[in-house]
Amino acid sequence: MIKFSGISKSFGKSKIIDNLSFEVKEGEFIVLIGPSGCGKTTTLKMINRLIEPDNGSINIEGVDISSVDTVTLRRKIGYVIQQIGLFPNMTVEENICIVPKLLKWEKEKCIERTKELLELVSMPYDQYGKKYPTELSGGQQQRVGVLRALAAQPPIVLMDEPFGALDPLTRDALQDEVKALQQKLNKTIIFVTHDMDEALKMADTIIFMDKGKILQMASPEEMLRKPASDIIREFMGKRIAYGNSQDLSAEAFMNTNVVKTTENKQTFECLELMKRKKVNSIIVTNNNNEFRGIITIEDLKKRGKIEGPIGNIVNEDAELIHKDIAAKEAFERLIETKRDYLIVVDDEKQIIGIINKTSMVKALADALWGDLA
Amino acid sequence: MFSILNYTVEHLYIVFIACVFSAIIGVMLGVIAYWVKYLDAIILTLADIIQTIPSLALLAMLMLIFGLGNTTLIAGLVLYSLLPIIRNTYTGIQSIAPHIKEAAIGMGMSRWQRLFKIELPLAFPMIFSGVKIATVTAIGISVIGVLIGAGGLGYPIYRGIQSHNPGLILSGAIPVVLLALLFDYIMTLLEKKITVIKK
Ligand SMILES: Nc1ncnc2c1ncn2[C@@H]1O[C@H](COP(=O)(O)OP(=O)(O)OP(=O)(O)O)[C@@H](O)[C@H]1O
Ligand SMILES: [Mg+2]
Repeated sequence: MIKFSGISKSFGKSKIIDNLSFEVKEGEFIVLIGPSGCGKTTTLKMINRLIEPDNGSINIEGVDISSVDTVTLRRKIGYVIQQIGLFPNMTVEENICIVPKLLKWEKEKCIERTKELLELVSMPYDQYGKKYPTELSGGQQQRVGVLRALAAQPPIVLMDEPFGALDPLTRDALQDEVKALQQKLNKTIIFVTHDMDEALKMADTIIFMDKGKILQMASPEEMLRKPASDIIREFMGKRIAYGNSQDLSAEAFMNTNVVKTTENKQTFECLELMKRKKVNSIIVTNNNNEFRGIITIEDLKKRGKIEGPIGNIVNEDAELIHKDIAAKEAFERLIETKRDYLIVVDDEKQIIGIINKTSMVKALADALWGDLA
Repeated sequence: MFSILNYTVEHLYIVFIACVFSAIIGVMLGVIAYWVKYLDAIILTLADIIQTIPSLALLAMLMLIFGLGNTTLIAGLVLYSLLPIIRNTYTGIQSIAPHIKEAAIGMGMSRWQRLFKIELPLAFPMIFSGVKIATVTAIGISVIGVLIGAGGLGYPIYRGIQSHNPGLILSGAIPVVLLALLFDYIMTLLEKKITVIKK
């Protein structure tokens, strides 16, 4: 639907957008997020040509927008800004009908459309249609701002921090409304925000920008699970921890400090190792670091003899889990099986860690107090 | 008494014609100054300079072009009234919040659509107050039009001075003062009303 190819933009000497390329699918809800001044607004305004790039091209449905007349282009792209920008000399109805009127819709159709839109946000036409913007609350004004952008049924809507100035309750309500509208009307929305909660809530895909580049473009789940850099992790802050029990995998909580040995080691060596590491059980692998079995101090005591390689006496009865299973499921398995630990393996069956009670405590602590560990 | 009424009507007629012209020209120049970045200083400075020319000298110069009579006076009043109208139009549009202009551009309104639907309506209270200043000033200044052969309330005043007739002087001067006060009062009321509506 929208395709950025090698877009760059400088203001004076400083490069604000640096060789940006990405693609947005039809009906997708894209959220642009990143530190202040990273170029989000600039990126957004290049889509409706309020800002022209120095290099590269932007295509909408395969057409290079630099070849489209700006006025025609903009009437097909809804635009919502943080300061709302309702026209104070016009009523709610007149504000909503601006673009339809520019497109020469008939008067009745304009009125119909206004009624229909106001209905969507529970602001009855009879009550609000003839009011002036200053007679509305901030939240109502921004609702009208959003409706105005939707009025002429543009396939694409750009929103630059539209809810930044609203109180949390109103913001929450408007987020729900916009998300519902987007799904109902199947709009492609590019939404700029500072607020990671908002991004996680609204986005199909989050684009994280820093210094004019994309650091990561991923679904909210993936960004939570695998933030691509420290800046993103910092932006996520507590949410990574909060997401733990629901969204994170076993890998996130496993203990990687595993006491392992290979099957051809002598049994007495393993006993030494267990004493030194102060553990009462040890994982035995083959030479490829694949699971062979476990052995506990008790096992050894029972047998009484400690000659020969450990591989001969291992106990193969243990619980293995894949690293990508949900942490919650792993914890449940741990409790059900009453084992001391579960062994976490990756796609190559390599042992990469264990899940034990300590992992659960860590997850619990994270959820309660944020990123402690 | 009848003739004073005649002079008054003629006076108002001259001021009215002059203000209509200067409002039209002034708003146009104000918009051009706003649209064309490098012209704004030139236009505003020119209007400023015109206003610093003593009114009598301005009329004398215009007389060379238009000859004696009302036309010259009207031309002079137009030039004289331009400054407040141009300046108020220009700053009126200029001071509209940037996000409102950006919203208008971003929605795909052309320059003319923005001007007529957004910018002029929002600047209107300020433009109107420029017109008020122009009108009240013109009521006063047009008195000297008599020196270049124009009509209006300047005539009885001038005749009164020449014939040392204080009564005649006052019969012209008092209506001028009353007119100026009256227009100032009425237009200030209107101005307030407009501003309230636009809020
Ligand atoms: N017209 C301009 N002239 C000069 N510099 C500009 C202009 N517009 C933006 N910039 C600069 O470009 C950089 C990116 O601006 P932009 O508005 O895109 O940032 P942003 O990511 O939207 O930031 P914020 O989150 O604060 O809104 C900033 O450093 C800004 O100062
Ligand atoms: Mg911004």
